[in-house]
Amino acid sequence: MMPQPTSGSRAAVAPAGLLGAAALFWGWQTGHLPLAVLFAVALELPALIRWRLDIRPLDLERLTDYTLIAGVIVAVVLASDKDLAGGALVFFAWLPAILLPLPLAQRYGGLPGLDRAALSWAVRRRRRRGLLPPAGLRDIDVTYPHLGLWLLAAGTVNPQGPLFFLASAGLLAWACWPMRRPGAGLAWLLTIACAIGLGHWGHHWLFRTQNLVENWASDLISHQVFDPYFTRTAIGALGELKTSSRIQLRVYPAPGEQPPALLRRASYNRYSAQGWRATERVYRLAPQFSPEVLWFTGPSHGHWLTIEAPLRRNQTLLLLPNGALELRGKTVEKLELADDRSMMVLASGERVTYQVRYDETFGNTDLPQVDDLVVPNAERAVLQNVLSQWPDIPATQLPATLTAWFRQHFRYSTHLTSGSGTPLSAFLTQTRRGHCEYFATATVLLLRSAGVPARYSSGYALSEYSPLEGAYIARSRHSHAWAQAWLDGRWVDVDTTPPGWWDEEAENAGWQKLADWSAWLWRRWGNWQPDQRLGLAAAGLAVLALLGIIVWSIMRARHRSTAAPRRSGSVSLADSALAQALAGLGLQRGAGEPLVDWRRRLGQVWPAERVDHIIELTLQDDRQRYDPAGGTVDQHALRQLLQQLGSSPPHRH
Amino acid sequence: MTLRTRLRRWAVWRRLHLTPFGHVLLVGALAAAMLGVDTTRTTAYQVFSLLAALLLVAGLALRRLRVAAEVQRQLPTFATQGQPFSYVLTFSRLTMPTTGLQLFEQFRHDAAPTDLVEAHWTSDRQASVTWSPIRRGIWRSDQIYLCRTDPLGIFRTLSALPCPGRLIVLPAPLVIDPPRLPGQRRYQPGGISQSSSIGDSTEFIGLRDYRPGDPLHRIDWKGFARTGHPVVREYQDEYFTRYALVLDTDLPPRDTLRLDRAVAAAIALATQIDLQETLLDLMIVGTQTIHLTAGRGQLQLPDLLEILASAEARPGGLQALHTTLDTLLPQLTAVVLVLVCWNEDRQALVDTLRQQGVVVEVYVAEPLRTAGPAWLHNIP
Repeated sequence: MMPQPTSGSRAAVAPAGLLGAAALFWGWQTGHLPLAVLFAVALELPALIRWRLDIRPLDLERLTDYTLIAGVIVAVVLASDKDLAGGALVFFAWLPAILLPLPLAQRYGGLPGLDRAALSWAVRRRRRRGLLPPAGLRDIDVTYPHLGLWLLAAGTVNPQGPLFFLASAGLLAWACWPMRRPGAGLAWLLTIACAIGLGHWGHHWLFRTQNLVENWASDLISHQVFDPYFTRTAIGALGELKTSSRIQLRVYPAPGEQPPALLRRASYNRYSAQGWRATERVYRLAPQFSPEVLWFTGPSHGHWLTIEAPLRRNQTLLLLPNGALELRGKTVEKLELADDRSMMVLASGERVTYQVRYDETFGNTDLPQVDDLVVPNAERAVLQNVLSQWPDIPATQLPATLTAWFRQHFRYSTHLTSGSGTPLSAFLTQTRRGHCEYFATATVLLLRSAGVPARYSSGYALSEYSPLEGAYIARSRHSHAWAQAWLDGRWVDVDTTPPGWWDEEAENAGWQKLADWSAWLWRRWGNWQPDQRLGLAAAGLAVLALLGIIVWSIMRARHRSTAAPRRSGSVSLADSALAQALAGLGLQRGAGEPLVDWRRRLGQVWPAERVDHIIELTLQDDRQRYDPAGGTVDQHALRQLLQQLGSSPPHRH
Repeated sequence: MTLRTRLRRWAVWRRLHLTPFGHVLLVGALAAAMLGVDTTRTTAYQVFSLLAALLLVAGLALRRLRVAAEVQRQLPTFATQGQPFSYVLTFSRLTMPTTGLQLFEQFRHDAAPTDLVEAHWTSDRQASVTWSPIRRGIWRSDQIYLCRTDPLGIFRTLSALPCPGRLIVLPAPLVIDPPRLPGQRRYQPGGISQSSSIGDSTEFIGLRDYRPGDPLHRIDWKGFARTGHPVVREYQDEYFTRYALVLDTDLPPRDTLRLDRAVAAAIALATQIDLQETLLDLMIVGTQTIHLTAGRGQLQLPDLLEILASAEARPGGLQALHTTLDTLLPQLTAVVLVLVCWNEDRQALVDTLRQQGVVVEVYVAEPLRTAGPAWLHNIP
């Protein structure tokens, strides 16, 4: 049926089919199609059936409150489980599903919109205070806002390509059609075509502009503090990675020596929401041995290296080669050391210069933790599938095998594309291209799946020698990630990223790290989780309980509508059961008959106590039916009386 | 202009120029802009781009509305707060067909946000408006807006037709037992007095000697003939009973709820006092006490209702009431006080009045925390 155009100012209610289509679109994009079909059917069923729920304003208020509480619970669970940005995206992806009770209430209640008081506590308060009338405010339609939510939620999974835009444009045009000005068919068509054309050009422009701005901004903000507890990867991001060529490090090896290929900043051991987190990491003040020597361990041989690195707010995480044995630095005021031998220094000035002695054969020997073996459930199957290629390989050979496999079958790329499933599984099975964070993450998780404790390390790759500077330099875009595996009682670097990557790594930038920096405090809080599984289970139960309460309160509302007469609205003028029963006996109270006369008349056929009982129940009944202040009838007594009146006819006495 | 006023004006402007659908698109565009700020993480920026383009193109497609008409508004004099009522707008010489034309009424109130009400065409000439005023007092409307949307139904273009109107909105009615005041007929059949002025009635009480200045038509000629000197007929002097109804508004301006109850009570009391038989002095306490007299030949009940309905809270002024009452007290039979609260100042006022022999009935608009005097009436 063609929807009739409205004047454009009446309550804008989404036409039948639109919300269902939007839900299906969401399901298609997010990979939850079966669930989306369920949602779509629930949303569109009221257009096909006549059955409606009797939903009162108070029920609506409860419903929105419960929905809000459910939303808050989901948000808290996500916040404790994931980082701020990742958690917010997942929350938004599920927001239309969380808020689904609202459009369902509107559609199943046959309402033009939801009462303002249901959606706003301010309105409820003003109503309670008598500042607003109890009714008469225009209802708020939630179907169109819900359509917007489905679209935005579908966008959170980042479906690049023309399909998302085309589908969004189609759904929006569908939404606009019933709202058009009456008689403006052709003008509407032209206008909407112009708008979609402009929107198409606009979104390309936005994308390009942001890349330009980020490149510019990353040069401004590349002196960030690095978060030793968390690093977000660009895994799952799409499009071209950003770049910055600012020089970050200057490394001076001893004359005639080559510097190590990798300088590690910190290691991380827990992978979730495309980010790596360090759990149970504590930085302890390192005991200082002499004014010059900040820290040393193990043997006294090795190679010396001088490194100059930028400081931010007078501190930084030092970049160190694997197997560091001694550290010296004149300007360092304080050195803090963690178990993974990452070092945080406090120093004055813009930059810090330090000397480090290292021997790569003496890798870090801090014992692996339980978290160094954890593999996320979502990735487990695909990792096992990959490992099944080498069924009986010894652990010591696995790094070399993996490196060879990655180099043979994978390609380094900073242009990221999407596939189905998790970003990592898409990388391993479909796209087979990615940047160092993909390779490092995949290697760590593959090693762990094979029973080898492994960590994710981030830092810089040294590849460029600057004759002008007389030093090896590392630019922002040379930041690198690799794996560390626990082999033969020490941590060994395992870098599986195909070589020559820095030639292509021309576009890595710091927009992402700005987010890392701003989320520092948040993540420290997020690091604190007493028991994640218990928390998740409790939250899940709470959400289920809330859903139960929502359904129960709606069903109760429906039951009440059939069980009890409505207080508001028109009063039925038909006689009540008691009045009818008395009329059947010719003993009803006549119009205008004084109570005294009626009592006398009843007294002729019944004993006085029964007469009093009948009069009392009649008055109660009248009060319930007609008194604006309300009243209740003793239903049990009424039923008994009706039975007695039916079974024992009156007799004169 | 304060920020609050600016925001309110902008809200009215927005509601006039943007349809509800337009509001949804605008909010959607803002949400999409926030969510899509990083174009590499979500594709919400594409939705933003689409919505922004829709808003922009719709704005550009808006054409000026040129329409003229004469309009008459059949607005009632009174309405009740929170109760919907309807009235009719009649148009003549409308220069364009009504298809696609929308109508809006904009009601202004001195102490409440402006309210925008949509009218609906019932025929080519007539439109009906249903409105439920949210605040008591005087609401004004200067013009009627004729609007048309752009082809997408997002923005509106307006044309205002001048049509001044005024509506008195009374608070929701209260049921109050009538005050038991002296000087009223009780238990006898009532009736309207035929007298239309204050002064002598036709009730003859006797004869007396003529005094210079007595009107000639009062001379009793038969008596003159019998006695030989001029005598005049003397009639009963008649005066109206005079009551004072005092509304206490000594409240902080934001405490509207209590004042509303007091106003509703004052209106209920004023309607129960028969203005044909009595004079009613209405006093509204404020920095300067408003004092008006209603009765036969004076202000009438609708005037009282209008004044009461538009009473606003004014802190201070209980002292000014003392002086006003003092000058009037000798002529008053009874005073009905409608107070917003009960405290020592007000207790003192009542005591002073009682000491001067006036009957005082007191109604209080707040539930008393401790038990007050037995003669205190609580406003329900």
